[in-house]
Amino acid sequence: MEQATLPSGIAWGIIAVFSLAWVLLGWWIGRRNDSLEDYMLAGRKVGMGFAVATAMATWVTSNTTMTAPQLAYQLGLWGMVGYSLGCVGLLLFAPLARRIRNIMPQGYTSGDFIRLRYGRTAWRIFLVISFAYSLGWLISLGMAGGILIEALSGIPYIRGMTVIVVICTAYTVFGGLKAVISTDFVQTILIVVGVVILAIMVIHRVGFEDVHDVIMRDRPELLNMLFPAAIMFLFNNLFFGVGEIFHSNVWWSRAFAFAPGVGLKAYLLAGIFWLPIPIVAGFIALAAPVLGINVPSADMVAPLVASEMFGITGAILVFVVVFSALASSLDSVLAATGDLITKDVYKGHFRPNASDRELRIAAVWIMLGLGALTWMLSVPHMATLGSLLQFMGAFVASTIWPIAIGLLYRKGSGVQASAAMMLGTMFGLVAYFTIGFYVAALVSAVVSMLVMLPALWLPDRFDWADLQDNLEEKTRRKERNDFGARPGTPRHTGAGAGEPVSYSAHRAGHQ
Amino acid sequence: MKRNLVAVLMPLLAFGMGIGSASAAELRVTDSDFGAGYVTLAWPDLEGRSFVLEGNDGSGWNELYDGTNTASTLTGLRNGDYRFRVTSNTGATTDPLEITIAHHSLARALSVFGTGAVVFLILLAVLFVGPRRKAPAA
Repeated sequence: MEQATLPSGIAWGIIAVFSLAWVLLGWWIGRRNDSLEDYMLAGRKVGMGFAVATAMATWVTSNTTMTAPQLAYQLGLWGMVGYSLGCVGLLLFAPLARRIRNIMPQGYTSGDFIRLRYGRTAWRIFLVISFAYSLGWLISLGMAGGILIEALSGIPYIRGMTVIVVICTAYTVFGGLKAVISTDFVQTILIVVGVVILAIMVIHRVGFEDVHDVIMRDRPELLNMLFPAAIMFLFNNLFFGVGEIFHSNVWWSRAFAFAPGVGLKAYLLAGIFWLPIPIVAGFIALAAPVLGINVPSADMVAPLVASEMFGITGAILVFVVVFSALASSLDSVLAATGDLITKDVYKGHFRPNASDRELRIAAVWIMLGLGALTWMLSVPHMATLGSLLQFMGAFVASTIWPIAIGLLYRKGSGVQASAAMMLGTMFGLVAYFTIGFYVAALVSAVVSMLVMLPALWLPDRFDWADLQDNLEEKTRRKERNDFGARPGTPRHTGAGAGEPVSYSAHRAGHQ
Repeated sequence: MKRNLVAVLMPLLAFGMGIGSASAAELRVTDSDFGAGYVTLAWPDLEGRSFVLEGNDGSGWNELYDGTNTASTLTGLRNGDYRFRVTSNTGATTDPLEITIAHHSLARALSVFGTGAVVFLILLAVLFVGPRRKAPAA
């Protein structure tokens, strides 16, 4: 690595100050968590300001600030624009967030929905996809932390990555989702202000004309409006973003956590505010050829440009912005994935009768385990950020149609949903390896659509009341606790008990 | 196919390549997509402290990089054959490496784009034209 701009002492100092602040904030907020609902869903009372901030901050990840530049560096102008189409996922999820809150007011995870809507087979396939995606995202965040710190300060990759993962795991474990959302608010402000300042500095230092002239001379395809791979990337990235948001418990947990009526506006505003950020970040990458900056790996282009251009002040700014972006996303993914594993795997498959207290303890251990796994898999720096991320596109885009149709229509069977997810993923991966990363998600979405869409021409088959089993479960548990077991009480133990019990049939059994 | 396989399985490949080329100072491709016009070249085994990377697109050798890094990513390359070599400050030089950039056809790109557009419109129709139901009471 050529000369670093940020002295390692300052870098460690910034890390220490912010880390202490996040951990203390997480601990302080976490003291107010009285129940599992407080810990996992912030009491289901998050207001508009925090809702917009957390949605935007979570979607502004280190991928936005580092992979968007990478894709601009590899695919040019369409790479930046294509990356910004990731906002479409937030915009399209807005009405779904409202729908989720309405039809499952007591829901906890996206897995809850798939299990109740499509049955256990589809649920398990969904959990595999979701876990693979979450792990990939966590690894990309861990890697980005190490890359950033090394590029700016020369601190070895493994040390920087370790500190980032440990600190974010710590405050997430202390504070749960309330801490995650509260720190998101602060991190959003830092990100937005920082990116705007950086953009102004780039334009001031490197004019548009110089960028155009140098790139046309040395890397002409980057400015080609008919750059084939970049054109193919546009809708691929759109569907990747839609698949990420539609399926991921990161977004479902927020839909459950937001106060009633907040979700629709929060996601719409977050999508609109997020849109320009990858374009601004991408533009930074195009300055690299103009400045004669060598880029050993495409995912390092943003911090390398920042460290070359801005001197120590700018390097500090970039450091704070990307660290905030990292932290705001890593904590969200950790929390949401921890929730999913706690609720759907631990409770759903091993401990169906676990109390809230036991689940809260399990959630802590699961998050610690996830943090450790993230660290282990981030150590080898196995691929560039962009290629790792787009690999996940083949998985998540297959869930778009089962989720969309499942939420809005009473049509579509568990067999169809399972086949849509499996075949979509399979064909998406084939496309990834045979054509390129810029088609994997699109192919996955197309195949999934071909399997799932015919359901719209079939008769209705689902009763929305079957989504209410959480409430029923709590009611029955309360009755068992208050009155003891009753002869003839149906043996429905909620999650993991088998195919969904029809709410209307259950009520009839009580009469 | 090869580029993406390499990107995902890099640790295994790096291990194999290390065994196979323990004594060779070769210039190698560590990340690429020739259909998208980019390539990452690396020369970790070349002795020296500073290195000069040169490229030749048929019009003669041009200096692309001069510094202490042992890798470089080139992007936005046009269709054609390219040769690269690296020379260190000790005078050691790698054998020339040849690659061929062949972008995907525009017809394929526009087909993919068109497919994406159609699927997107169908998704919008499913999301916004579908029946709206009130949630059952909790």
